[in-house]
Amino acid sequence: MEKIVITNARYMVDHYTNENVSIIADFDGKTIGVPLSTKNTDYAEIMRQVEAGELTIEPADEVAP
Amino acid sequence: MANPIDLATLFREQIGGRRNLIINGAMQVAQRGTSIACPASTLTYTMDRFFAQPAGNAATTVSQVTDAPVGFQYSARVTRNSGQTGTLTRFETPFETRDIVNLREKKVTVSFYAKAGSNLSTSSNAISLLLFEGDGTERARGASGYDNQTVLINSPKTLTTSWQRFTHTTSSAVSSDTTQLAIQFQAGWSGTAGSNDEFFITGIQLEVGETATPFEHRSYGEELALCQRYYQVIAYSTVGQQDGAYSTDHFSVPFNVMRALPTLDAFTFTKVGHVAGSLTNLGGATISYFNNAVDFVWSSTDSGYRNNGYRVAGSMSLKAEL
Repeated sequence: MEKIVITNARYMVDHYTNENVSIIADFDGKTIGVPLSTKNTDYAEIMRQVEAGELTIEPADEVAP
Repeated sequence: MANPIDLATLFREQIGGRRNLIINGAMQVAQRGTSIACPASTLTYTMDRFFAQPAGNAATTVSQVTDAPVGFQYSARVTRNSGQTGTLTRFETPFETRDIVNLREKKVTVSFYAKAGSNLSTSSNAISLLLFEGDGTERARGASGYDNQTVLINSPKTLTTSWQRFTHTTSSAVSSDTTQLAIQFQAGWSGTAGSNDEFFITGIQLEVGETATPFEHRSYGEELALCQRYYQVIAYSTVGQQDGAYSTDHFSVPFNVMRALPTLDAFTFTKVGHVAGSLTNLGGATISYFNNAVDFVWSSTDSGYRNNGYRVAGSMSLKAEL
């Protein structure tokens, strides 16, 4: 089976705490929002590809104070 | 006395309510739509709780249709798309660990209704019923074997173009440490698909014991509620607020608790009132999860209404599938 193609992965930060709260990414070309939860299968797939060196998650854009 | 209740059977097997462990076995709930394109080499959820995973060049369409045996409203029609030459489509429902613990050290019985399409290409018009178990983290099985996998059932069932009920009891008990379980139907296509290269399936049941009891029907409302643990489509109308101090727009949409924090699979919203506008992609938004609500925050571009509220309406799809 072909793996899911994940592109444009980027962390999202909470505007008030500036902490990472989710990841936005394109899964097979479709943009989805993914929580930072190991029980979420999309997050698990993102981290699997990161650990395999196949994907990098970009840091979040800076939030204006 | 006719059909006396056998107390031994009563206590060995579950003959009361909630016999069927499968959610949406009658294909009643189709939150994603009634006709789902399933690309080759991709795992795609179709009718709720069931996904298709076609092999290469076996793109498949799964539809909720009203061709069903007496007593059922719907079946799932699993069609290899015309012109495809791939040789396998999997159709599966996986289980959470917490829902299968009570199966340990017991034999189980799977039953279902199925029929062939007019041009089903599989050998002897058969589809295979498989029941997989493993001892790893709960997940969909698909094409990836479970940890220390045991195949409890692997049995071809020959279909005709009329509805039949099939039953199969495991020859051995579910393992004492099983944590992964999935029922999978496999269509081993042959040649090039023409029209109606398909099978129909519904009334799928998994129950404890060695007897296939009648299919346990649940109301649509019950079934939908069970499905929403894994997938929810929410139409909402709520209040948004621009936060002057941080130059952000913000609103929250609550959802019922799901298996895991969900993926935001799709969403739309439209501002109504103070400043009209719409957003149909996630490009500009930050999404966070607070308890059982999705929080949408994005940098505001409208400086003229700081600290003012407005009405927001739209829809979103949340996914917490295995």
